[in-house]
Amino acid sequence: MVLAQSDRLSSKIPGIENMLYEYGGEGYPRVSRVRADLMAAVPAICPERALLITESYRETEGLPMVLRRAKALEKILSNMSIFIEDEQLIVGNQAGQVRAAPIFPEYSFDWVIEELDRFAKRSGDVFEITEDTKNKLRGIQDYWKGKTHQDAVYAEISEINMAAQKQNVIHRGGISMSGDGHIIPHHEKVLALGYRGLQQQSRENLKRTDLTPEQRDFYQASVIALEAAINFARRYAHLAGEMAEKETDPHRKAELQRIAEVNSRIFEDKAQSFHEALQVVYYCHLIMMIESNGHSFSFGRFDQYIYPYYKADIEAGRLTNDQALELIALFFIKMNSLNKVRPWEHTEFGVGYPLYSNLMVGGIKPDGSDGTNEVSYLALRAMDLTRLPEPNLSVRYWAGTPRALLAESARLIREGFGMPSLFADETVVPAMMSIGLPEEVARDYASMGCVEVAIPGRWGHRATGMTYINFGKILEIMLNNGTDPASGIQLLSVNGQPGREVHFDSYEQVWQTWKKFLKFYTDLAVESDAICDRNLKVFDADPFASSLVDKCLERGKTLKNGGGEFDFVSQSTIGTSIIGDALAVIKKLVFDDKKISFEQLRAALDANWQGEENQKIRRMALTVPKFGNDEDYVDELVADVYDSYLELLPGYHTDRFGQGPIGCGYTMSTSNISSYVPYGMDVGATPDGRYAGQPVNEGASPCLGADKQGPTAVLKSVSKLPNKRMAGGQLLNMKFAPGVLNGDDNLEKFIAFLEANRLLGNFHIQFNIVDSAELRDAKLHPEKHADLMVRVAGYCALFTSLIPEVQDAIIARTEQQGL
Amino acid sequence: MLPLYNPDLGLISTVQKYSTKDGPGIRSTVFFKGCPLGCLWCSNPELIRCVPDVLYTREKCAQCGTCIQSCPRGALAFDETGFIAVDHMKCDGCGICAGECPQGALELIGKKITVDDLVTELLKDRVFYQTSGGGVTFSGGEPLWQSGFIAQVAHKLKAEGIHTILDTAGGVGWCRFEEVLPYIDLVLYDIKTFDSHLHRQLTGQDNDLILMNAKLLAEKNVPMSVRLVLIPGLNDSPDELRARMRAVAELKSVQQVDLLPYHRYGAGKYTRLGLDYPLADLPEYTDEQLNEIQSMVEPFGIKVTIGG
Repeated sequence: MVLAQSDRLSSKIPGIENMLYEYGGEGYPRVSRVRADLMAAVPAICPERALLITESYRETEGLPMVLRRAKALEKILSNMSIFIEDEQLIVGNQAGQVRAAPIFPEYSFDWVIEELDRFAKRSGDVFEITEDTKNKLRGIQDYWKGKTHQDAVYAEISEINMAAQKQNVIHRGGISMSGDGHIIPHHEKVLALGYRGLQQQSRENLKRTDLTPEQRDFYQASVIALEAAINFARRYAHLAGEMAEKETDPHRKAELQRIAEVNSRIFEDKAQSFHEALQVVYYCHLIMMIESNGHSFSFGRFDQYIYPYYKADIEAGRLTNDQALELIALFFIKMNSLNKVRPWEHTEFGVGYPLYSNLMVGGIKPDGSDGTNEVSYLALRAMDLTRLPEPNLSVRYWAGTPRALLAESARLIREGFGMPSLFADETVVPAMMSIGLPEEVARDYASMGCVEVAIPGRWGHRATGMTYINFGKILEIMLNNGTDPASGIQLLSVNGQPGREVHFDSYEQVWQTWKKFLKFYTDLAVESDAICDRNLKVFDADPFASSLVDKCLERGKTLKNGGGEFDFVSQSTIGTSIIGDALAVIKKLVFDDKKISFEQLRAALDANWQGEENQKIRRMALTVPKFGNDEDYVDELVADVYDSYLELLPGYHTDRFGQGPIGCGYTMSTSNISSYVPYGMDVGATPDGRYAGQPVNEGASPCLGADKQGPTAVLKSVSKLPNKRMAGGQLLNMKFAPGVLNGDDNLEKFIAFLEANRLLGNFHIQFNIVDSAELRDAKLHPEKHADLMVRVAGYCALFTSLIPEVQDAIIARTEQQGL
Repeated sequence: MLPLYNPDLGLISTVQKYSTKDGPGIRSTVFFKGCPLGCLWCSNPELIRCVPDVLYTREKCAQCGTCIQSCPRGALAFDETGFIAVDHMKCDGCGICAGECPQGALELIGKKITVDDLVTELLKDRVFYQTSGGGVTFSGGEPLWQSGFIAQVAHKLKAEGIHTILDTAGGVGWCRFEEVLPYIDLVLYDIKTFDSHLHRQLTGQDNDLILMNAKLLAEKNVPMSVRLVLIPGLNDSPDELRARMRAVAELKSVQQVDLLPYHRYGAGKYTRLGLDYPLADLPEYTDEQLNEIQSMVEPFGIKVTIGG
């Protein structure tokens, strides 16, 4: 752990100068103990929710789905076992024990049964499971046959779409078999009105005589779900009261009484304290994650909506900054008690038990002033204290950001666990405006997940991640005349002929063919999205979450049915940089310099570069400029690849188009979690010099090891991409060696580097500050590095929980050395 | 033997970006090839010769002999162990062998670059110089051997408002300083020993010229940071250090002294050049030793850093 040398960089943080807190210090023993308890918990599978929802669904056959889901939520929240962790002040559990994952059979269940015996034996994201749990889950297997979301989706998917999936071009992501998540509640409103106030709105609406049956069902479901949520809190009030009676330690007894008090009145009205406000925010998060098994349920602009409650308590003398920091830290730890289990093939795409719950601080406010406040700093410090994967902490920065916030962020980054990631308002706001949002709305953006951005509390579901498109595979297929060499499947052809043989006469022809192929597969991906969407509307009907987001209560619609004020979707495009690098090799070696023929290049790729002649071609390929080195020749080709996708998007709409929400179109995103590793495994050798099976590039980052001119050149290359049109999010991941940031002088230089990143017009940046030797050691001796947290992609995870292939990719990511 | 340099064409090895140890802020450092000194501890031996050099990495070599056949000057041959020996007297640095080697075992150090191409490359990181208070550092080798070229590059950089630093050992005629100084904001100046006899032993040259140039720089009020390299047992005796510091203290334009302790990072390069590293076995300094040295030189009233 790097301790601060001197406090020169952050001596003056307005409002919180007089705290116990010191960097890397031990001033908060309770936080350490609660954290240790969490770390000691082993992820497991919990059958409770699965059994309760099965019982409920059996009782509600024939009712509209939105009502069935409300009643199911009611049954679960009323009957699931609850507990309060030692020394915690924030309460609410998702499953029968800490870090256990509930099961959601209504979305998909076959894989659960198939993998029952393998959950505990995985190479990453391991879940313990008892024989009793297995038997309980097998016991409800028959009920769900043919009834799940996945069954409905697969009944509709076209043959050609399935073929594209077999080619490994399209990966249907989680939501062909799970809920979606990607929701940020309207926290200001929930804190001000309570669930009771929201429920009142639904009750009022139910009095209207002009309701459609669909609206009536929704309002009824909303009333039931919110009532269930309020009663859930009352169960904790009761439990805390019982525990207080038995508690012998007077200090803890008083705390339990306070928990009982907060939870007995919570949601009836405006939150009455900072503690209660945090508990409100946590309940929203928790209950959404019991209602649906999506992920990326996020916290939005935490420092903005929580600040009034903090300020009121501080001013009234009810709260000290040390208490506030401790509460935020406990709130952060609590998020890590939640978990999600995914099928193994999906796990590979996002390893490390990720929930991607983004929590954002800093940035410009809708009125154009800066939003940084004391809570922004406290959140960074809470992260320093907790150092866990959740929340996915992000900092927004712009010209008006106080230098102290950037300095605090830089210091936290230097600690080396991957947080916070940084979003540059001067790029993200225009990106949001590029899809038609007014500036004052765009200024209120927050990430929902990794780098995908949304307007908190006003956004329809899902910013990204529905259908992953493997650009690397599309290129490989195109260079084989439309035939996938691995599966032999050919869905279209370059020259009108079947088979692999193909010849290109010019770079222009190569480029036009790329555009044609990209459109072909994107059409299929959009078709696949529409099918998932139509079924999510039914199976992921979410009366609870929808009650928390703007326009659902006005329209009487769930989010999935067009309730959100704004609604945009992005697919996840994987391999943009590698396509540019590959095109540069084809352009330069085959057409510009005519050093080799296309056939020679193809033969070398077929041979995976093996053989003396092919090795020579590979060396030539490696000398062609690569993205990430500030070389216009190739950077412009990578930008072309982005443009080729962006120009397709106006032609696509979602299923909710014309149903109310503003937008309902597509955006572009490079938020592709760890998918670049498994997708790379599917792609043969590529012209840039990559061997078959190696990872493709991550997000907008250069290909692994391709950036040789240092970190400034990477930022320069990325700045040439159309970042201000990347409304779905643009991800850049960098790795620095720890020594580069040692000492105040180096940290100052790093802050200047971050400032330059903003001025260059880049969207986002995040770091791993860890040397390769430590990572290699952690791979060999996981027991010695249980705490080592790293940036995987748009999220952080404990390194030891990752599958070996992803560990290797992180080790290989170029480590930038200052010299 | 003074090399004949073309002032319109520089001979450099690399441009190192995000350079954080060659002056204030984030810098791009240009490493020029060619140096009049032969310091025993040199950590950039590939920059000593004023022609391109071939670096050979034995571990990568497959002993196929492709390079031997490709060399137009017959500078490559198998040695007695079956690996490649480079005859640096015959090699003119054309680089053909490096392009032909299937294993990438040969690497050409040194490329010619025009004034405009180098300026373009250096301006690429302008935004980083601006946010960090950084700029460009000319280093080497001895950059002043290419003073005419540097003057042109620095002139153009100054016109663009870029901060410039010259990192020199000073062992060249004063006229070379005069050529570049109008376009240089700060000079990093190496003084390797005060004792001229010792200087000759350690670097192959007397230091009279070096000390005289330092005085001239100070007289002209050119801002300087003086860099004192520390080599265990060779130039770190208290007497020698005090003598150097006394000389430095007389230079009124010196703003800072940086102690540069001996390290072995360059050892691998000697092997790849087919040379022996004369100081391969010296112990590196401990932190305590460095602190002791620092406290010994601090009383001279100038800010002292370790490493710069």
